[in-house]
Amino acid sequence: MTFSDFLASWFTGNNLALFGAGLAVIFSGIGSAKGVGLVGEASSGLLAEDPSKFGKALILQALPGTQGIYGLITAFLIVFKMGILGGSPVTLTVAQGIYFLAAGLPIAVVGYFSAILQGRVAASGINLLAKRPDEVGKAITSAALVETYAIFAVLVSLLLVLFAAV
Amino acid sequence: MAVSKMKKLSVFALKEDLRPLIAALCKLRCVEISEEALGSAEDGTALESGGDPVEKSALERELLQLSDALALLHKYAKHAKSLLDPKACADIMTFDDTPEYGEAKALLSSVLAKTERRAAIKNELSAAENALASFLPFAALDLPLETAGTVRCALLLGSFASGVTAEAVCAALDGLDCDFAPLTAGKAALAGGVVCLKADLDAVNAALLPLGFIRASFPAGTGTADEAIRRTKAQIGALQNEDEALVESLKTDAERVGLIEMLSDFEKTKLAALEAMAQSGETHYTALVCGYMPERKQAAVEKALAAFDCDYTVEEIPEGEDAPVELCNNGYAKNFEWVLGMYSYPAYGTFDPTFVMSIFYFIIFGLMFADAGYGLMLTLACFGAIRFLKPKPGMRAFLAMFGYCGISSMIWGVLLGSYFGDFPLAYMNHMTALTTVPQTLALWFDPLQNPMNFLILSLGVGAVHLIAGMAVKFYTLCKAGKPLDAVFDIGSWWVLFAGLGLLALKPEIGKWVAIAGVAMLILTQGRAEKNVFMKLFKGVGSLYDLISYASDLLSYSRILALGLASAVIAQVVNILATLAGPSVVGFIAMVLIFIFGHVLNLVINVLGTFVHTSRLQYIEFFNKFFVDGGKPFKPLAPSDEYTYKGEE
Repeated sequence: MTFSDFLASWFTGNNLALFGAGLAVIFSGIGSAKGVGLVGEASSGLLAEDPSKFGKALILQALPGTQGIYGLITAFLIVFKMGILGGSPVTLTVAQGIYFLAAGLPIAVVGYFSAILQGRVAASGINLLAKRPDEVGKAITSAALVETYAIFAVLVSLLLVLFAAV
Repeated sequence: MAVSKMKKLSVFALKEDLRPLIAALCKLRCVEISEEALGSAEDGTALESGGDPVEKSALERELLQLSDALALLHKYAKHAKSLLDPKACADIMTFDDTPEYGEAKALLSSVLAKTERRAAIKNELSAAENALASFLPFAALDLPLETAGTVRCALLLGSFASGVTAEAVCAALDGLDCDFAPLTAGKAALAGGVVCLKADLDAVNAALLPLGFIRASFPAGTGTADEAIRRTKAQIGALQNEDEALVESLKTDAERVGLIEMLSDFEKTKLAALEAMAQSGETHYTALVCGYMPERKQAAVEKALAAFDCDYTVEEIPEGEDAPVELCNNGYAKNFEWVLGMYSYPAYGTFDPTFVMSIFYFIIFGLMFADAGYGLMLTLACFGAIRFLKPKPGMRAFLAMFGYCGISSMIWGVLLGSYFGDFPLAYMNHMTALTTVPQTLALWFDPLQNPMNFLILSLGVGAVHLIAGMAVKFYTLCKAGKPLDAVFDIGSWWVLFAGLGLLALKPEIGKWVAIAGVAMLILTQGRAEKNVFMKLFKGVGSLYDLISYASDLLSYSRILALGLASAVIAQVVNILATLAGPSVVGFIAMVLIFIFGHVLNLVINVLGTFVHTSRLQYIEFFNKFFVDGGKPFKPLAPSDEYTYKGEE
């Protein structure tokens, strides 16, 4: 086996599809971790002053966590389609593998950025929660607006995976 | 499904009647006394604001003490609920006529005195502990610690910087006429005494300075270290005992926390009345109270006012005055008012969308979170909490709304065949020997197998939602006497939508209907302009709104995304739960993973579904017609923070 054969052996259809599944989990997960972390940092200051606001702060903190979940779902569906979890494993062609890789990309990229930006909006919502706790609904809504684009991205990812011809 | 009609109330009374008058209105719970209402009633006569600011600030101080005392007692109380006789708090406004009032006051001052004493004890304890630490190095010395020397000699007691050894001290003092006795060594810093002639004191001090020597000074009467240590330890013990006794006695007081709770509600009611007085106007002998009340309460208010020597007028809300908004909905829709409140109340006199919103909220929430199992859990949890915990109205509405939404989830879950995801199927496949397992449990269709159908369903619900929003606008325009505007602004779009819809079914008819809609828009949307070119330009420009309608509609695809998200996570949980197969261990693992996984999925997705269903109402739906900016109606009423007795 030559070195180039060795390299080429990496790029089987199955590996490419798994790579797509990995990207979906990795990047949306990093984004969500950053976003949730940002809000967590912002909320400890508030909680030191007023621990009774923990519940509301927790909701704000949980919001940027959904992108990670979307990545997980996409990855799971890809793996499911490949028959690795239950069912009979299939061998994908390189073209099919690239199809799944492409299907994982929307939620990987958009999930990463939208989770971080949503985390920033939610973190500033902590200020609103500190000063006017009754208005926290507005902070939650504006953070949810950022999530819309991750939802569209996961929608495309999911539809691509569900409609894949395997 | 409307905003209650409000009336403006102005009462002229004698100044001495102001306090009982406000108390009477407070009891009715239906008048919001407002300075703004007063402001416009003023006709140039200078009115002073009523009430006594000194009394108010004293009351605020007392409330601060009360909240401190309550926080403390709730910490010590064994029972979550006070065991007081509910009859005792039958009427919180006359609490000061009952014997419990005196008891509560005495209890409060005793709790405060004990808290203060505990703070003092804490200070005394830390002082005693510091003193004890200063005596300990000299425990071996049998001289009274305050001894400074004899007539000729000086005794320097003290400690050295850490790391200094006795040898180093001796070396430093070498050549001087003095004697050094180390007292403690080892891990702690070196301490000891130096005896020298008073004449040599300066030289000795100079030699000790580089070693970081700090002279310890003790007050007269300290006695030997041994005595001092014993004395201080006894003092610390006594203080600790006293503190424990105080804690015990606070725990006994906590049994009667209900008294303080009633006192707190009583004082809060008093403060609210004082604030209402501050919102009223006064002259030397008379007072003027202005406020808003719902029209349906007029008779009750007039009856209460008849008991006073006063003159009052009840009038329509004057032009330009911002009356507070009270929503008036049926028992079901009432539970959704807080969702509206999170956005904004409708401006006074405009349409209250709570009922329409509640219907779409029910449908969309269920569709986004379509699962019979989760829905059942949500409904049981929420209605169970209402039944057994008897929460206050705000919390009750919150729980009831999610309870109703759970019912919708169950309905959609049955239609779309989701029972904790695909749990029944996963169970049959992996935990039983069944060979023929159905493909789906759905009565209608399975969203995971036919995501396109689900997308069309989502967008269809969205289209109905948007058109309902436009219908509300149509209705309000007609009601405002502008039926032509309604037909031009809303009707034209409907014609266009109908045409676009027909294009798919009967292209021949659809084409002409759509063209008619476009023509209506082009011809009518510039009607406010005078110049004919501007009319046309505006008309054509209005077609651009088609893009915003399209983006609104596509926003409903989130129903599909969130619905799939919860279904797929549930599927993952089921795969993991049934992985071990049909064995004893497998069943135990299944139950554990099932409970953990599905509870987690339920919590995450209820939050997501709530947020996104609300968003669809706030942005896509309200955008079509809503006039925001209403202030919620907050009538003057007795505080029932602790003494809430259930619905009346």
